[in-house]
Amino acid sequence: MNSLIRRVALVILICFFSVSNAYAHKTSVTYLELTYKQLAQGLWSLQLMLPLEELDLKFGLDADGNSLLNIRELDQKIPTIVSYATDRVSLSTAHGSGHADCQQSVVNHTIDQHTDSQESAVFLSLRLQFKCLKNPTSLRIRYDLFGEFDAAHRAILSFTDTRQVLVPGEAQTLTLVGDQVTAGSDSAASSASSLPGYIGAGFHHILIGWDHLAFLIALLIPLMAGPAGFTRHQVKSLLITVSVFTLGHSLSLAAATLGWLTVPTRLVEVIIAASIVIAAGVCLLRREFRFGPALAGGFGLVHGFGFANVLELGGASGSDLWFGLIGFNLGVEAGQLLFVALALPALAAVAWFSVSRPLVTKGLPVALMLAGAGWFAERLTSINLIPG
Amino acid sequence: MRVAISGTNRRQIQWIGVVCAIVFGLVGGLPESAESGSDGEILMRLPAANQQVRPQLAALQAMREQSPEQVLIQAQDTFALMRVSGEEKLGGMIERALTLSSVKASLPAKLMLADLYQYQHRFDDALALLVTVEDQASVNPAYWRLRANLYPIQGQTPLMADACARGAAIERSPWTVLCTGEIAMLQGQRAAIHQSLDELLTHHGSALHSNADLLIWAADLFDRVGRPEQASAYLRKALLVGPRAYTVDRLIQFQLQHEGADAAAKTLQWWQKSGHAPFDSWALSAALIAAAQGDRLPAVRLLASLEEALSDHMQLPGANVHWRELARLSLALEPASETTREYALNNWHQQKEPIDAALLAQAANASNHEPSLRELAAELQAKQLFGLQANLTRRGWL
Repeated sequence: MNSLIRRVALVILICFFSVSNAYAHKTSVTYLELTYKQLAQGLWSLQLMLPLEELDLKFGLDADGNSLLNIRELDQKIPTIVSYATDRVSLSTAHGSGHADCQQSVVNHTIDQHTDSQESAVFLSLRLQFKCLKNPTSLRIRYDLFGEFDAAHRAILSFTDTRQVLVPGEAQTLTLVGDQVTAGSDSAASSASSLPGYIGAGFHHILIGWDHLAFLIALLIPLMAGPAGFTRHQVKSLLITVSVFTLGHSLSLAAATLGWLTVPTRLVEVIIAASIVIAAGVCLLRREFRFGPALAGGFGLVHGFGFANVLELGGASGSDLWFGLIGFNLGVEAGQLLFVALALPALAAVAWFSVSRPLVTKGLPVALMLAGAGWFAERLTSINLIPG
Repeated sequence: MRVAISGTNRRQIQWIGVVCAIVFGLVGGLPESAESGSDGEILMRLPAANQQVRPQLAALQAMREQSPEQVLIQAQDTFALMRVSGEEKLGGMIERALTLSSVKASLPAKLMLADLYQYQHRFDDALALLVTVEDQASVNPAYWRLRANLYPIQGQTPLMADACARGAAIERSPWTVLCTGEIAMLQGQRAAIHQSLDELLTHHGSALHSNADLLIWAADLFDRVGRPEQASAYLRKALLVGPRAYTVDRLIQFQLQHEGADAAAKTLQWWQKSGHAPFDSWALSAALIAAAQGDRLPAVRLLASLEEALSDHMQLPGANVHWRELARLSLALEPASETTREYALNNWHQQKEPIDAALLAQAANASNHEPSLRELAAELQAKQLFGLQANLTRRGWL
């Protein structure tokens, strides 16, 4: 019944849009309706209403060139259109510091027609289903249709009681509080269109990325195992470890952003969680352990792919692409340095006293291992275990 | 109660049943909808514009491999086609071409993009872009022309005068003469207006008569200076020189104001019969003409659909033009209503061209809303738009 009501509501919505569209605003517009079965089930449905006249421009539907589009002509292009749409529309849910992609499947496609006194608008309605993490705090929708040839194209997304305009190539984040939603352009995508913007995005990302911060803490713990105070050798060792970790994630971030390497998001997120468990476990079991350059660099590579999942440059190329990459990286490094500068004295202060030192050398690795294991299980199974 | 059915009746009922089964079978076998219909069933007639847009799209898509010069030429051609056809879809394609990494840093690309933004009523985008090229473009007349066009929309007449003078210092052209005339008009310097118009006709006649944009501007000046016959002649001339959607729209606007709905209807019919595609504000013109002829229904429907789409489409680039359309429609239907005044006021806040001031003055005057009239008069005074103020007063709106 709800589905019927939603469908009727959508038809009414499109009628209104189409009337006005037919009249004055010839800007190419696609309509999207996002619904969820239940937030707790992690199942989302996205209906894309693609105007046939836009599809004709993109795919040349009118094979015989008579300006009359028939079902046969459309059917011939359906696989191409579906592939185009599914490749360029995606959902992901907030997950710790990054976003976990939702699993997408095509439910069906139908033809919806609206006619008014001015003009006839016909849409190919494509219904997609997404399986996402349960109870997400935010949902990110990425829409990139028609923008490659039409800079003025926009999509109007309707979700619950809100409507948002989507710009192709830019991600839109919907923040969910219960059934309520607020929306805004993704900070790492649209607002960061200049070098300072990208630096800010990288800085912001590292400071809200609990899993990356957890890993950084694990890198610091071995320094606390010895007597109070740091030796020159320890400081040098820490600098080398953090530098190699930085080099590692810079390389993989660049490789992924430039399209040289593609690694599945889910796999990367799972390995990042595992890296926290391993790093914290090593700290717990081998007190005198030092992270060697190979290990720090290797984990750095994996974390870099995680950063690349967040950095989206909206089809930027040339100098823009490099600005984005360098700026985001600089922001991440600045965030890391700030965090280390704050965390190191705090940990050292706690470890100064022999009574409280076990909190840092034993309690903290256990906590990190638990958190890492939680993230690992969560990302592997899509079951939400850790709030936020 | 029992109903007895005889053998004859039973046979008749059986026959009726058989006939019904055949009919239902046949009907059931017919195609029901677009989804289940035959392969050849027509889904829609594609807009004629698609035939026009597709080759342009192919050319623009091929530009990624072309030199920056070729890209600019192609974008220029497409822009020219867009101006003639009024096909808005071409705008997004031109913008995509001009923002290709190979050309987007060049001055001509930026100026053309600013011109496109202005055409699309994306005034803030246009100005923001022009600010970035100020240093390198200060000797380019096209730059000053764009700035001079944009300043009055923001109500900055002194800056317009400056841009106009700096453009004229580089090159004296019909445009700079009209620009000087426009400033004189806005500031109410009648002698200077006539001097500019005389100079235009004496020294730039041939250039003027071959450029539809300049003819429209000249017509606009003649209209505001109180010479509607010349304005009408120039608009018709513009339609001959450049039979574009924008030109016919302007002529219809003028005719609705001065020559009556029947004359405007004839222009619209002529445009349709001569094989031109409907232009952007086709439905608006048709609804306004119908309303002026006593048929309010098209305008009522159009107003309702625009109002419904207001919250969503207003977020789309260049959608601020809808405020003006809403004000025009509403003024034609309910001139004295509060809503009309609100639309006119919102439009005035976004666009400050003479037509927007006129719409607000008309709406506030119709509803006898003294505060709005005083506010508008004070704003026109403060911005030294004495000519515009005098013009509105002469028409009895202010």
